[in-house]
Amino acid sequence: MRYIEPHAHMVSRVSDDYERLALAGCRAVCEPAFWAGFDRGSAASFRDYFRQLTEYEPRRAARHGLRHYCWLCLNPKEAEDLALAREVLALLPEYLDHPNVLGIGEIGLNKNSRHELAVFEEHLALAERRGDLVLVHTPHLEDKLKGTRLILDAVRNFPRLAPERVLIDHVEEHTVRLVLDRGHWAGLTLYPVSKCTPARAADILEACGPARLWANSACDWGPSDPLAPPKLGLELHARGQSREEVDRVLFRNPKNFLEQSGKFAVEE
Amino acid sequence: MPRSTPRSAPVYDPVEAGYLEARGKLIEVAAFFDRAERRGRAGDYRVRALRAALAKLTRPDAPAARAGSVLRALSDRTRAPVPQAGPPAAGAPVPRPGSSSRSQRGEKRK
Repeated sequence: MRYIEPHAHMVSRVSDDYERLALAGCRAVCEPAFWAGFDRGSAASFRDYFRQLTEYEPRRAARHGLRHYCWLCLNPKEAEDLALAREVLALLPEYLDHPNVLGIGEIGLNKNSRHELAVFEEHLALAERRGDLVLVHTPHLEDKLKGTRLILDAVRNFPRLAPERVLIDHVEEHTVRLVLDRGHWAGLTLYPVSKCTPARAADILEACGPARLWANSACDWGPSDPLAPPKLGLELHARGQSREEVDRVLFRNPKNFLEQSGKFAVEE
Repeated sequence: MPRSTPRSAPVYDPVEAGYLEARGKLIEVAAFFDRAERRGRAGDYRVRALRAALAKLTRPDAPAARAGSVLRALSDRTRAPVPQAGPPAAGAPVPRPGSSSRSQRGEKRK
């Protein structure tokens, strides 16, 4: 089973996980910029983080035969400090043209605050000016439905951002159709407790069809499973889906979306 | 040597595949309610929200969209951005003082 991991926070994973991904059939890993677990104190620390994503992680992945790509941004959890947020936004263009950078992400909302929304919109404006792909994080738990609606309404205010170039991640049963009906891509995140199980993700795929859907683990420093996407593949096989259908969800769909960046390449 | 015939793949049955796990999870939920009650925490807004969401499962006319229905029941239904980011998400909408669950739905900014 070949697959692409479109959303994994490998900075927080040990190298053994890269080996496991490779053994499980992963061909490429894509890593969005995210919260470190604490609020960074300066724009300089974001520079170091962006170097880690664009230089160090690709080398670490390559030792296991994996291609590594990334997305860059200031994440929603650090958006309350508008001054810092704008400093970071100002330095983003220095890194966005790097050959491993796919676009702007994972931007979005966390607690659905005014500052988060303002910073989200400033990221969207940057993406629109540059023609970048966008990867969006939707909030956790009780905040997800409200945040998804706010996000969709905000994206609509940027008409030059083609809907199919925006992926809205971490959808669940109550938000997936909101996203797909607007023409965006939607991400099914296989993360314990707070997001989908492989079984629920398979249910959503059966209900909505596979068009414009991808699956990811979003594995990070919390309890999470970097092998969750191939486990979804096993669930789909068990339900009678063909190898081609599983390949579409786990390989072709992420490939099709990510190739829009003009930078993503993976062996067939 | 008799020629072996290939076995066809077993047909997927969601009940065979998922019943024991669902049963285990339901017992965990029941045990959670017992535990919360024994420790005097049954009135916590999250416990109340979970109890209310459970009702979505057992309605005889519930369509086959229960997961989404439960998620919506456990969601913040207000629409306006908040002035400031608050504490991390806790899994159920925090009731606002003086509001009923009905008034939380579809609130518009004045």
